[in-house]
Amino acid sequence: MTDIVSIKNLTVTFHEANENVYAVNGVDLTLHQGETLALVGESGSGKSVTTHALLGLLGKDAEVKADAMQYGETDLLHASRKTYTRLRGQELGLIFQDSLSGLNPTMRIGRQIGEGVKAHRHLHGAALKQAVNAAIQEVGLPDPALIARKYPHELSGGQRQRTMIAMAMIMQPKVLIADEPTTALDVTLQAQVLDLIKRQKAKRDLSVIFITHDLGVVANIADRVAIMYAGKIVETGTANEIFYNPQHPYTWGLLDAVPSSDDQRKELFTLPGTPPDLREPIKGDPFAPRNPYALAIDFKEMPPLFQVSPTHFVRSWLLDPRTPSYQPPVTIQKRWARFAELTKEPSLAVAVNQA
Amino acid sequence: MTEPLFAIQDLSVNFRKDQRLIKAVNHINFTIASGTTVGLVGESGSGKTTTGRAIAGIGPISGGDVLFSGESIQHFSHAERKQFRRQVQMVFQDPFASLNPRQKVADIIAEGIDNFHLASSTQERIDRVLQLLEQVGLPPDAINRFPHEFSGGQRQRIGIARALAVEPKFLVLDEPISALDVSIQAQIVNLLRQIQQAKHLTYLFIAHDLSMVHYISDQIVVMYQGQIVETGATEAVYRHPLHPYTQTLLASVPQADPLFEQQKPRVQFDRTPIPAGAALTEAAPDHWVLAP
Repeated sequence: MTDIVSIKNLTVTFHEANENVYAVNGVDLTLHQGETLALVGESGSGKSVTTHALLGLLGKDAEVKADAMQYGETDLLHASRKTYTRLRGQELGLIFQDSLSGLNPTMRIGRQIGEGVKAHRHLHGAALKQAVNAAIQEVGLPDPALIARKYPHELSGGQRQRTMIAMAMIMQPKVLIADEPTTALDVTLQAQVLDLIKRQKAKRDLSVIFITHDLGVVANIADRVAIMYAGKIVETGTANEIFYNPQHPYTWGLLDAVPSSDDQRKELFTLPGTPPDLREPIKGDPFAPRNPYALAIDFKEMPPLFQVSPTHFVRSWLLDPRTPSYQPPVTIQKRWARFAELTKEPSLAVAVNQA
Repeated sequence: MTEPLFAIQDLSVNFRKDQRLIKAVNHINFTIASGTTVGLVGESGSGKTTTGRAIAGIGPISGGDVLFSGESIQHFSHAERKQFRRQVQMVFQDPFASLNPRQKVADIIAEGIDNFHLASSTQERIDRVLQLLEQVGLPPDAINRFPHEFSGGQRQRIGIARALAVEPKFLVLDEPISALDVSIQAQIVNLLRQIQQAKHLTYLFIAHDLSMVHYISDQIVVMYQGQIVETGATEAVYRHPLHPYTQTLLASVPQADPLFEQQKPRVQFDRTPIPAGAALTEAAPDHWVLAP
């Protein structure tokens, strides 16, 4: 398995007028060729900042440090602006949550989609028009010639989100970073956009980083999952490991907050408290104050990464052999039982192990 | 059966755009019983917000009527209208856009208290605001802060406190959780349920999907293209969705279960317009579905 993106010990600190914000605090992340990695966390957990650091999109107030940041053979830590401009134009595609502010309101859709290929691939005239129409068709929009002549406000939210995807895909990127691309959409449109990304990925051997706070969406799209909290990755594993064998209490909380269609509970589970203030360096595990399973050591010392399987890592003292035995919530015990069954069945065990 | 708090009778709302008549809401009927929650569900453009605004008396009514405790809201006297405006409050989707950024939280929450002269002294006004903050789970020191100092979930709590300040009977909750993180959505839904039980409130909960509505609604109304395509008790609609659109909405909510997600069949809903003359028929007791 080739790593197409590799980040080692990334920290991002924003220096503001009177204070520092420690947004990302030592993130290790790899993206394998051809996989979809979901980066999951609440608002402010650092998931967007991490990918913006990768793309070189952070402003002057951001101090970015890392031991390594690689895209393929390119060292991104020492990449020139010119290199970054070329990479962002041709190899690393980005789609945003808000399609209305991601598109230029005064420019027709066709021109916006064609801008990239015109600048980087020097397409003009009929060839440009043909490429644009093909890109529009590709994302499932009817009548490309008509859509190309419209302005963003004349399209619906779902059509605009497809336009953003067309804009990214026309450059035939190798990596697509999708930053909550479906959060603002209705569920039926969300399902369509997820399908569209999956189809594009299969067709072009794309590697995808998908940012979201919704574990339902993650279950639908991800091969591998990284859960972020307070600027750190607290659990990472294959989709099956995260959903059926979750080990971190924060992951448990996120899983229990997703409403289930056969749910009989009257009260929805909620995580108590709020995410920590990142303006102060945090002593111990930042999740400890919200963690019903917190141990005394959680308030003193940040837990190291514990390895559960070759692909599954957890940053929680619960995994330390010295920790007394504990019972996770019943909902999580059910997931663990499911995992035990999955790993027993030979055909599925292969799927669980190889992913 | 006792009289419903609201009866929506043959309600239509039309808009005109570029000489064309848009039937945003097209002859709909439903009732909202006192102390219950009706979940009004549909995609963007289905007419659900227009319906909510008509019921709250802040949107136009082109045909039919909305009865509040048996009285038409279109024929209120000045005094009755003022009473109605106090008893019916709205909570909006976007907690970033619906709070005045230059007002302190105390003044945002107390606006209704001031308008309806519900506090006889400055101290009573402050006490009332502090009590409301406690009810929605915000700390007392929130009183002197500005909206931008709060997270999305906390801002929505401020919006709820503002609506509760005038001691209403009924809240129109227009997608109050759509803009929030999943983990925060659950907090707000639980808070709304607690407040409803404590104050015997009646809710119209508007949402674009069926996931969270489940936990708060007694009745479900599913709208599509300005019409009701299905309505019934929450459990009936969830267990036996009858209309293809309701089935699509339910199947589109992703579950936190990758093997289920990978195997689930794609439901494709035929988006042709609803044929003229389609009417709701009672498929099971109190469970209605639109049949051609």
